Amino acid sequence: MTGITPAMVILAVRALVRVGAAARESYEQKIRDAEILMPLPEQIDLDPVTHIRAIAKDDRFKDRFLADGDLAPYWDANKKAPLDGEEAQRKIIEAVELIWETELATPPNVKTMTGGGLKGQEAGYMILKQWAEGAEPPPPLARVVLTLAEVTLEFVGSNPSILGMGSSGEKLITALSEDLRELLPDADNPQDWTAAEWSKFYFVQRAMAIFLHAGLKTITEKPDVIIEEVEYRALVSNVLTPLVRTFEQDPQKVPSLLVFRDTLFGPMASAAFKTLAEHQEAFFGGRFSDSKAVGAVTKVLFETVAETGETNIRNVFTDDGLIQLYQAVLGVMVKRPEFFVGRGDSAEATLKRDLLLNVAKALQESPPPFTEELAAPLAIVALDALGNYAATSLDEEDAWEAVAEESILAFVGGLKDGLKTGNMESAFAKVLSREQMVVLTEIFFAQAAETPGMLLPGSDNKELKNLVGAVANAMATDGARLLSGEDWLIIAQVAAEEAAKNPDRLFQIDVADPEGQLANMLIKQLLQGAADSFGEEARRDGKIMFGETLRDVIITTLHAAAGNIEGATAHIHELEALEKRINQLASNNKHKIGIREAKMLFKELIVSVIDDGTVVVKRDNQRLSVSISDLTDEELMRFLA
Amino acid sequence: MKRRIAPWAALITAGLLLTSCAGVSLSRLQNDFNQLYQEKEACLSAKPTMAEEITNVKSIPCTEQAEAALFDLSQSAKSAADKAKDQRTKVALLRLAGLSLWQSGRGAEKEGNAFVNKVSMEGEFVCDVIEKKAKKGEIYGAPRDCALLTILQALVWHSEYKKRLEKLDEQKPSEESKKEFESLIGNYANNTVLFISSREKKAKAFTGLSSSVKDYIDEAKRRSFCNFQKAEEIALDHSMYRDLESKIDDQFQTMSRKTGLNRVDDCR
Repeated sequence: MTGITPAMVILAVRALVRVGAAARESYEQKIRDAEILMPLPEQIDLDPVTHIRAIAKDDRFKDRFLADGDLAPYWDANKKAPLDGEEAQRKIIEAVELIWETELATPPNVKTMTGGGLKGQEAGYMILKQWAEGAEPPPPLARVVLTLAEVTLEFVGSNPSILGMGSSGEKLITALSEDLRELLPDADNPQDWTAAEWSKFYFVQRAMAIFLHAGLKTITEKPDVIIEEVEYRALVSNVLTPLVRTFEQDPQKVPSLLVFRDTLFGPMASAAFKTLAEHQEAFFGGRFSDSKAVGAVTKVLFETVAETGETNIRNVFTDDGLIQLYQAVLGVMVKRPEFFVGRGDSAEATLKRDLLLNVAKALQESPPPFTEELAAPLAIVALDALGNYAATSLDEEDAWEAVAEESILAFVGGLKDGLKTGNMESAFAKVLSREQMVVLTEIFFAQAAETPGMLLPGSDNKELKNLVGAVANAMATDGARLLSGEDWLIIAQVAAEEAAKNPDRLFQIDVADPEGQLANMLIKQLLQGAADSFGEEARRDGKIMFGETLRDVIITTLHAAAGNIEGATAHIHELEALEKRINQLASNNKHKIGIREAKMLFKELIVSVIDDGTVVVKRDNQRLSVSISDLTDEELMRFLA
Repeated sequence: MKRRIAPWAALITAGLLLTSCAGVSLSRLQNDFNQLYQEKEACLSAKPTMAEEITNVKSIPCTEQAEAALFDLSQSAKSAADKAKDQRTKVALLRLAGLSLWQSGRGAEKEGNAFVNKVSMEGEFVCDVIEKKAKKGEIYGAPRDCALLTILQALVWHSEYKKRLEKLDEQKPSEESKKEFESLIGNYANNTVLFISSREKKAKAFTGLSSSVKDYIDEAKRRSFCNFQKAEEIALDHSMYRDLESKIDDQFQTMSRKTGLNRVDDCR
């Protein structure tokens, strides 16, 4: 391969692309040089005596058939055939066979037919090669160049300058061809290639085509971005090379790598190029100049995908999900490259190699609907959030990937605890759409990442777990569907904020049971109250404790309870009673009490109810604390005035 | 006599018509040739069906169908060769055109013979140009296809002589047939064995030619030489032709002298 330089490859590709059709015509060479079937002139059936005659006429043997010859008594010189009679024929045949056996060499044509056609010769044809061994054009590199040219041709139509001097396309192809030396066997000695080397060649050829396609696509989409050849080279050696190395080092992983190459490698390479184009400064400024991190992440992905152990990552994530996950990891890397590269030279040393596998393992346990399609978004949300978290809250030495794993485990654990009874899993799945599920995840992870101390390396993140469990459990109990998915997301946001602001209050750290969490109890109690008072004639009856009203009642309760958890715990039933009473008031005065009034009233009275379970009213010019059930409509209406 | 047409022949013929209109693929034509050749061989070795024997209703001999399709293929290949931009592809298509015509069995017909001559000469002309560049190292040529085009005419003539010999062997001798036989004896060597021999050096000298093609040339020459023994058989089997034996011997001696081939050593 020493004779081929990257400059030659780029020249070849450019030349082929320039002539356009020539690139395609070059494929004719492959067809032209294929072996062909060539019929031989048909042999005519001859009488056996003809062969005897040939000997009788041959200068070396003819004397034996003439006058004094030993075979003359048995030979008819006129007919040029053995005389009639068994003995004469036997004598002649024996003599001829002896001559054939002892005096004649193997026919020269049989001796020299070494071109592979001997077998076909019996069938009337030969298989002919175009070239003598070693005389044929060197196919492997030519094929790679042709493949690169073919890929490039796709883009030349829409972007003619893609291969111009000094263009991004040229730099990319030069970078790729530089790596050819490392990736391919010696192209100058194709006959020395073993079967394994040939399979590697085809693997590399296809992978390079996919990689180039992804690169040119990015260049076409972002024509203003200037990426230098050295940067492309770094990307090639960090993305393509690990794939090829994994291919050649572990034959058992080859089948899954082939599938990976054809389904995921293209999108993954696109993601890598995009990250490169969009974050050049992050990648190539200062200490991140060698882009080791891309390689580290990519290698981890290859190894994880090729893993055939207990947890098969491709059973947990969809293909799209896996690519998005890869992008998310790249995203974290852009924010804090040092977490991947570390201070030393070894990129892999700082990246926990089984990050994705462990995430997959955690998600494998995840209850529906956080499986399959939602598994990747969940992981991505977690990684995104953790990327931000890592950027602000972790030191280089901290194992951010451990925090990522642990927080996902906490989230999944919370879901499992919260939805463990009855048919809660399916009830929960009905409350939110898939998109809303992702938003819910974002709410929790974003809040956790923003809250100092909520996520800690080496902890089991109980706060997050309890928060998720309690909210999910409450959501699953909304059997009457009094709240929409949007309402629930807003409640979850408030719950998460309150949990962050007031640790160990609404969501107690050491209470493992989600149903034992105050926030959960409050929400469920209010839900129950709303459901009880809703009734069959709910809408005609003018009742309002559902949707926006109920949502705000719950939110108001959470805010208020966070300030007085003892009171809220002690007067939880009174809170429900207040809710019911307001609902009843609205029903009785449907022209006077609407959503706005109901919300105002609840807000006005909740602090008092939480404090001692009563409401202070004026009766007969005296201020009296009365229970909710004793409140008249007029007294309640007076609060609104 | 009722006729039925084998579906494969119809399909390939239709395919060839389409191919000639829509840009020809060397690969496709070569594949068609391989298939037709094998069909033809299968036809030649097939026995008549029981139904054909009982009812005396014969299908069109499938050999003829295959040969007709091969003829069409030769025209398509020539047409594609005329359009080919790459000279080496052109040569490959000319080789295929000549080969198909040879296998169609129409090489001795006036038009067929002219076709083969045209294909061979055109091919040789292009091959000379290619070879000059190949020798200079400017391009990789098409050594196999050029070598085969160089001896193509001999292959076609050999098939024709083989047919004529088989016919002479079967028919009752007459003055007319004797004249025909004499003519064949006089031309056989020049148009087959000696033709190959005279072009062998050139054919085998194409840059980078595979040993399998060299073997093929040797084998084609050997078979042509050995098959001439059939002429001797016919001459000795029919008293009317016996005086032609010496002419046949003369031809053998000439062929042996010029080629180094020997009946005893090379025709067992």
